[in-house]
Amino acid sequence: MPDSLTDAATADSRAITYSGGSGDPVIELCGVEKHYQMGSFLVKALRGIDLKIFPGDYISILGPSGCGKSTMLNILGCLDQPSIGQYMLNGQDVSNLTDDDLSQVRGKELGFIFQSYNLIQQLSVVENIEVPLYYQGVPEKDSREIAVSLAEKVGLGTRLDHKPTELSGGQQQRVAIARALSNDPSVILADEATGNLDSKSGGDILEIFDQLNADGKTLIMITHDEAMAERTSRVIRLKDGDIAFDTYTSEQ
Amino acid sequence: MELIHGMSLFRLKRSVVLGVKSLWMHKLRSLLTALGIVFGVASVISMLAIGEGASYEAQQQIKDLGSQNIILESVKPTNTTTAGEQERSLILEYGLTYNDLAQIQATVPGVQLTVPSRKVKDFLWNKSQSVDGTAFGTVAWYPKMKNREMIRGRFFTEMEMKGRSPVCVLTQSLSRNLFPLDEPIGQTVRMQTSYFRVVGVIEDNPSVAAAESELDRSAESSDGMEMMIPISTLEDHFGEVLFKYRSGSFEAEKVEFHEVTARIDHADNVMPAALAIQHLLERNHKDGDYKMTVPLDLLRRAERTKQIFNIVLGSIAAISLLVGGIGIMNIMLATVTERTREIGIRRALGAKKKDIVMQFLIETVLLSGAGGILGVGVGVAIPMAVTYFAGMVTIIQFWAPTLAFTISVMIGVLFGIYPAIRAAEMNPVEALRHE
Repeated sequence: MPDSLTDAATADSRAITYSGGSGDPVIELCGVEKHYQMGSFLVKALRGIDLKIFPGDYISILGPSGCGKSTMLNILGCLDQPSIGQYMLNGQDVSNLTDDDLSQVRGKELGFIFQSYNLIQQLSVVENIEVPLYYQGVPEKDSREIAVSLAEKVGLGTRLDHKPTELSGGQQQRVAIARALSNDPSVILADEATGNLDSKSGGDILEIFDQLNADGKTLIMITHDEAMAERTSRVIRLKDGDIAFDTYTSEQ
Repeated sequence: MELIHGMSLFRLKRSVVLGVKSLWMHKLRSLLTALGIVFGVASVISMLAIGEGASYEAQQQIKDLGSQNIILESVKPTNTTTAGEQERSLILEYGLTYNDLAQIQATVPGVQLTVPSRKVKDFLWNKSQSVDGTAFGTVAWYPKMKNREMIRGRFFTEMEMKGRSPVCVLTQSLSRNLFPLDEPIGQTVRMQTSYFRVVGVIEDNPSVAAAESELDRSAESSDGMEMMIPISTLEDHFGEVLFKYRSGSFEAEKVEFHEVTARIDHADNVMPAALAIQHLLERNHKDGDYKMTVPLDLLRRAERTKQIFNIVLGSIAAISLLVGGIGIMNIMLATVTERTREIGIRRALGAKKKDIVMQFLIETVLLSGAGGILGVGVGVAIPMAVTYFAGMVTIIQFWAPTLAFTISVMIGVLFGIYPAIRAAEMNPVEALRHE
């Protein structure tokens, strides 16, 4: 397995200076609620979440379906905004940003890894990794360099010009990881990242996550797999739109 | 405006590359979609070129007649039985007369010059070689008035006209037929019992097939096989009555002039003069045995026809481009729906709404622009093929392909903006969840 995964994207040393569970929180939720109007009913998907996530945290968010996991992910990922409450990301209040500013925050601060990989079919491996950099306006030459070295780090150095359809599920998910790392995000959000994979490839992916966290990356995994949760240093359980359980499990 | 402003050149280039890739993924679909524009643009260019060529040809023919000329022709009356007296004498008398000519010269204002002419049809001989042709009696200033160039030698002079000299000028096709190998100038040509010395060769009449009178004229003139001689000489040698022998019967007709062309001093005076001549002739010729052609009038009418033609063509082209544009819009809307998830992914990875708008707009414009380029190619090829196979004159004006291409790009923008905005307005969360 590759060792320092973040080296490719990080010219700065943030990953090294931040160590797990210390310093200022990278994410801070204050009384966050999310309401949906379903006909005449008002559904409260999240009911007053207070949460602090620190740089270097390795978190799994667990819960039965319908507990608000997806809503939580959408809000953490700045894809959606809280109805009530405040969301501070890296000290910036992102709960009331314009659509353009939210896009900017997603592109700069967040990395996404999805259950179904979500690669763009018409683009090659390298081009997929470059997408976030493209929207950040990174010149082509630099972004190509970053993408190639990230592809090499996730073990796809020989498949740079392959299309997603020519790759196995595990390989596609590794491309997605490289893509999530390309803009050197503060937080990586993984939504059931191993859900579509067999146990062997899933294990490989999880090992990459361990490695990323060991390099100082903040990782948040949404999952319903208890075995996966055991690998993480902090487990948050949601129930009926609220945090039922939040604890650091590992020795740190 | 911010849309274009926020787009640096290098990002534009990459967006174009991306657009090409996306379109390339569905080659057949893209081709079929662009086809509407291809045909639209091609039809605009080729119809304009063919229309322009046709009207140019017509106008050229009319201009060859001389825009300041009024052309009068004698026409055999259709209903001969009414002229009972003439029938008894077995000589059919009709057409323009010396009297008409004198009256026109004396009374119609603005008439500068007149060119009368008279024809005798018979075989023309060079020694034992003969051609069915026409002796064409006219005046010395005929070439100048009719804009016809001498090819060799000279036209006969006023002196020769006054002296009733037996000199002649051959049309080019006649010269080729009678003297295929020899130098014609200095040789003699015989018609009936008269001999004429060749002094020059003149180009063929470009307006043989011109304007409206082409049918009867080309039938009469034996395809331009004309020997031009002074009109006075013609009268001397062949008299005033023409005999035509046909199978089983013979016909005699007396025509003083077959054609009279009047040159008017100024273009503004042409229409009033034409009116005056018309009144004059109506009085003298109750049976309508003449025909008046006013090239200027024809020219104006041709221009008006061309205008109408252009409007009709323009509407057809506009409709076909509109249909092409709707086709593109339809496909782009389907594409946007199909690529909902891609849009969601891009939004999650930091794409702003305007990035998405730009992406789809560029794709649409690429599609319609490529269609436009193909259409220009086809549209330029069609008139060339028409010219090559049908021998028609076609004129591709430089602005026509430019305009057609510009319109195709504009159609891309116009019909692309709505699908692009729809793509951008998608909720990222829902777009990501889309299957």
